[in-house]
Amino acid sequence: MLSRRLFTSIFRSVHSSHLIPFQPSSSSLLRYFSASPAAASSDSASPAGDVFRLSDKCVAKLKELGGDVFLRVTVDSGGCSGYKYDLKIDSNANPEDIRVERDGACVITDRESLPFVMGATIDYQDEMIRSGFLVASNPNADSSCGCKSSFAAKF
Amino acid sequence: AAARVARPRKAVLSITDSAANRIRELLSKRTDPCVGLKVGVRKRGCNGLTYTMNYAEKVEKLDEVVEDKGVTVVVDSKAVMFLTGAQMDFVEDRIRSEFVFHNPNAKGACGCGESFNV
Repeated sequence: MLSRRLFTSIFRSVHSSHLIPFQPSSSSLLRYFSASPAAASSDSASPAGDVFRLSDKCVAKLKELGGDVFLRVTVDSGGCSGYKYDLKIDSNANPEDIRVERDGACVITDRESLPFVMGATIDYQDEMIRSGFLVASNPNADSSCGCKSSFAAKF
Repeated sequence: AAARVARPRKAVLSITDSAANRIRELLSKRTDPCVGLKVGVRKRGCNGLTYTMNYAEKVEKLDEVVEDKGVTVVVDSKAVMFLTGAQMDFVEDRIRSEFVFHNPNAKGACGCGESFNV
């Protein structure tokens, strides 16, 4: 009798704890869905400076590479968290690309990738084992892989 | 006691020329005393283990010392079994530069190559 009561109480607690997270997640999902088209439409009107933030190190390194090249940031599906960043040095831009310039350094992204990287900070990390460009912080990413090359999108 | 003559042992890991150049460059920047570069592994990343690198201030007990191409690499005692037979390389292009380990002990690695499993 005692064990049965214990069992039902455990079952109830597990059952209820399972149910609780459902409500906030559905409301947050709604919020993201309603927020994302607004963010996407405002970017075409706002100046390009709001798209990315470029860190000082990133600017310095890009200038070191030369004035005619820029960093291209694209987002692909893949990686261990759903999406991955693809960063490369490029020298020819398409007319529909979005350019962000700071002190003569230039970072470019395309229309498809923009909703995923809006408001992100592009940094150049200089460590002993590895140095390179990376997307340091991204408000659109829920979680990211240890190496910061892939992330899970919030929407 | 009779003096024992140590038989030359095969190095735990091999170092490529580009890695040796980079290590030399890193050690030349260091102002505090250090014996070389220390390589280890740590539990991190999506695939189990990741490589760590630091300046070696001294050689700890049971650490393996690799002296190759004029540089000293100290392999952490806890990492020896994961790094035996590995090749340490340094690759560099315009977007990034990093140390790469060609490790025969690794069964799989993360997409970015930062973490691996054995």
